[in-house]
Amino acid sequence: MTTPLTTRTIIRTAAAAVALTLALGACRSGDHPSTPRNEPGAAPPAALDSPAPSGSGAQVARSSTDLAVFAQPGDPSPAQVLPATTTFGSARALLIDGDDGDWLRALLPTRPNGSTGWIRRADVELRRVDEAIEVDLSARTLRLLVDGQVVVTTPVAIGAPDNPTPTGRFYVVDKLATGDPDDTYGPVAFGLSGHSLRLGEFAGGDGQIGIHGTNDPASIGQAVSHGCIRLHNDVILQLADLVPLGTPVVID
Amino acid sequence: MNLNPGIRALLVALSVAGAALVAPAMALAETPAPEGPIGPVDVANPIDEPEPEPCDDPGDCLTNPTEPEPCDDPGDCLTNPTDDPDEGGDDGDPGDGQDDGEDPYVTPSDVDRPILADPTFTG
Repeated sequence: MTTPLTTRTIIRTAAAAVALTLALGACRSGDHPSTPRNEPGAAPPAALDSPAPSGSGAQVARSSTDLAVFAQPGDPSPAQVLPATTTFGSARALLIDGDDGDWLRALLPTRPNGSTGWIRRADVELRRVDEAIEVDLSARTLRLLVDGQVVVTTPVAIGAPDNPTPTGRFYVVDKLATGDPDDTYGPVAFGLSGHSLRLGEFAGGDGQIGIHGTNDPASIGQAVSHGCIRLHNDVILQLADLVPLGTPVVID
Repeated sequence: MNLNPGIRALLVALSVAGAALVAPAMALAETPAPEGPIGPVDVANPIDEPEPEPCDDPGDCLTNPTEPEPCDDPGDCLTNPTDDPDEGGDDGDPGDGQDDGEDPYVTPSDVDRPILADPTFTG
């Protein structure tokens, strides 16, 4: 019996096997091309843009303790001491209108209107108030601005000719809820830092002027008050949700 | 099978050599293939993947972490990891909530709630 397998065939087969084995060995040795990968984290950090600062608001000093007020920065003793709260119990808030390093000049809620005094920066917490109220006596309107943008415009009643609403720069020192929408002051009344120029006393108070609602909506738009500024009740309720203590009020 | 001694010796040698060569080849066949293509490499773009698309939608930045441009919306810091929470805007903590250029010791004022009291204003 003879085999069909010839010597030449056997040699060819052996050569092919050796060639195949060598080729596989080359692959196993890791000779394939390396493939560096793009790692997302390897990207350079993105540049950061700073957002544009918003409008600069007023600075308001808040104090939870009695606050010493000085006539001049560096005075050894205070000219007066403001209680930690107002006579109504509101937190003490003073509008700041000057800065001298460790000292701040504050508008005071005392007579005469426009009084100022110096307080130590270390004695207070400074807050920024972006709201502002403007009252135009000639137009008998009030505007609320937030970041310089008018968000509320409303008609108001102002002081009668014999009890005019004082003009000047004031701020909100009280926010009171009367608990009765039919109250003379409506549901909410803001006390301002200014006082009547004619009335040294009113209803047991010291003639402090205010912005409030009313139980006489027909008076809105007229000059009939004792110096306060009257609004419709729905508007004063709206302002109560927007206006913090210390909000500047300019009456002109 | 009648084989002459020479051929028989050759077959034996090839069988031994073949066994030695086939074993590593079989082991190689069980080894996972390396990642990446085998073949010529584009040096400029080695894995030939598409470049990340610019992110026009700030809200998409989370799903597009390679987004190179910061989003314009400061309030989008949570969904835009390229925004720095301390870079300003009223962004809340962990930042200080302050805009750049403003006194960091001045905090925005909360709206105080009215307190119940009987007013004595000039009315």
